Amino acid sequence: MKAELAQRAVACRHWRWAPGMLSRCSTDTRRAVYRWLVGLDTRHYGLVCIVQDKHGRPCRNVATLQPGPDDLPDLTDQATLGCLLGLVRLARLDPAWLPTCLDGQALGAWVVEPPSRNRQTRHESYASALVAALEAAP
Amino acid sequence: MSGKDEIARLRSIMAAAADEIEEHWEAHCDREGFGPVNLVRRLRTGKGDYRSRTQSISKCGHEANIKDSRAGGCAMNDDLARRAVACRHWRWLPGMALVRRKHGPAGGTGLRPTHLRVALTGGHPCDPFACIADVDRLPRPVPHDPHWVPDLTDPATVGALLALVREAWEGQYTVCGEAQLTPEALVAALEAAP
Repeated sequence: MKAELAQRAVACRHWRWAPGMLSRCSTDTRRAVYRWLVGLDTRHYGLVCIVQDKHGRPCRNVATLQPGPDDLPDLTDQATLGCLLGLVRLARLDPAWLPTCLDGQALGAWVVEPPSRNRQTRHESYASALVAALEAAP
Repeated sequence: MSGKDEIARLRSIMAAAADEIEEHWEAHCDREGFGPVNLVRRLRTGKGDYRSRTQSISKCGHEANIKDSRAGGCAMNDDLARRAVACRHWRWLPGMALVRRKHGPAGGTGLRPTHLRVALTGGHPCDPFACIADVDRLPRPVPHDPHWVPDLTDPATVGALLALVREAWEGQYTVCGEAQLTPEALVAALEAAP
């Protein structure tokens, strides 16, 4: 479910990797956890750098990588969610936009558009509301 | 007076001007702590392609606009960031961006705020540190320097700050409106946490 949500986020046309995001890659051939630190760095290669290995330990052999097709954002990471919120606000051209929480942290309690009480538009988590908002952004 | 004498006289005036500026460095710094480092360097070395202010502005207008907008946010959030760091629930979280606002007294190095980002946290329990990385890709510990504060204009930092607030309130803090996700509201909530 988490991976599916992250794939939806990456598939959005407004998606881009932002500094501070945490990514996870888990395929048959590669496992990695990266913190994207620099973001777009036009002085070098237009990329990001990593100082965290798959075990969460400092990685002294700092690599510079382009975000790969198997890299997915970790939507349980608060910094990543903060970046995602920033992307949604940018896409919607609304610097104050925020999903609405109807019933605290209860399942199905998040809506993207505040007036709606339609069950169909409710989202089970803050992260899924953000992804839905990014998908729906014009 | 020969040309060489005139050059020597002007250079002595330049050196005197540089000395005087450095003796009263604080008076020449703006509220962000930035002083006329370039001017002093040019006075000392006599090098540099000087343009009139108008030319400089026209060439550097874009960069200046970016810097001004960034500096405006810095000024607004500077005190707020210090309040956040002073909270007992505060700690550096991965993904947070740091910025060094001031460069200290005369002789301070650096020309502009230095932006870094926390990569991972850990360390000795009695002396927790955060490993940070800069654009040179060099991990290093967060310096014990009160001038390093979180960059509250950074979305990832605000997201991490929200996590700290939720943790401090043991999950009782929920985001139900824009007013609750502004840096001001989050810092206030962190301060008020039991």
